Amino acid sequence: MLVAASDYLKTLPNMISKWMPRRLASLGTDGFGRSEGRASLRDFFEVDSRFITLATLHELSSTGKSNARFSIKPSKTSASTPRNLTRSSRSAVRTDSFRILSVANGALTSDPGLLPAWARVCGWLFLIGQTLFISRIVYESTVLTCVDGPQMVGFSMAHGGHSFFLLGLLFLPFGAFFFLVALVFGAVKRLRFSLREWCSWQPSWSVFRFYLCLTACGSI
Amino acid sequence: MPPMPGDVKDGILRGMYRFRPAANGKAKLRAQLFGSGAILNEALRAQEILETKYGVAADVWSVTSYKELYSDGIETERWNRLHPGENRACHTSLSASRTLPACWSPLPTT
Repeated sequence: MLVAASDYLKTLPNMISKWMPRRLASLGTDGFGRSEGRASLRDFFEVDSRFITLATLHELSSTGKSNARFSIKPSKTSASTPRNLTRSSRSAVRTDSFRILSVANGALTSDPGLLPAWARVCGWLFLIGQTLFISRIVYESTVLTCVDGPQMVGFSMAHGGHSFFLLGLLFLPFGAFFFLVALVFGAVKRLRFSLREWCSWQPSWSVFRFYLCLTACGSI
Repeated sequence: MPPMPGDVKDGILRGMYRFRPAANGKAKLRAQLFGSGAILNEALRAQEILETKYGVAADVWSVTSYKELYSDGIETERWNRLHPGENRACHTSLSASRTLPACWSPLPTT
């Protein structure tokens, strides 16, 4: 993978790209003349180390060699848009345009991640609480009750474990919170899975995770 | 400016040389980063990020003159045109030959 970064126009590295054995990804400062600090300008023109990293990982992923997950701001204004000449352009110069989350080798998929980390933690906490709660009820209704007499099992299954209900209540706020967040994020992100992914017999990990979330929500 | 290593004088004059090779040469994922002038530091930073976070071994090349590389490529193309059957490699591909396949492969003789 070849990535060239330049403080001049992209056309400069492109000049020699025909003698390169592979495609050359060229980063440069095409656009309108601006006056700013070096760091902000490199962020604006997308040539700093983060963008070199992004370009490299993208080139690697386009050959199926790397599968990187990013948190990118796709709406970041292009440096060559005339809109930047207006006053509102200042907001386009920002240093948190994208963050690279993780990278793994393997098949090429785009997994933007359905929920933010804190919502996922809520979901998992809720799931753990629910699992403890349900397994305790099952344990009480079967093994413990069996000691009193097998005929009581059916009776106890019908009534459940009331004392352990408190523990379930303890974890309920996490679940409710997670449920709300999942709804909002689902609506906002409109569940960025293709129809093919939904119908596939081998759903991707993200779809599976969404099913898991649905199960968690349903168990409330 | 960093001190000049002994064996890169030719590369500097001809347009590009390998500034800092990847620490882990055996990595599966390889990349070549070109930087020129002050932005070379960004390439070095990217090399570090790629290596520590993503397991990508990246070599950083300092391009001292794209214009020299261009002229060299053009000259080599002309030389090869005037010497049918012979093939010379331009500096761009020569410097890359250790990590990348040469771009001036001989023409097929069928």
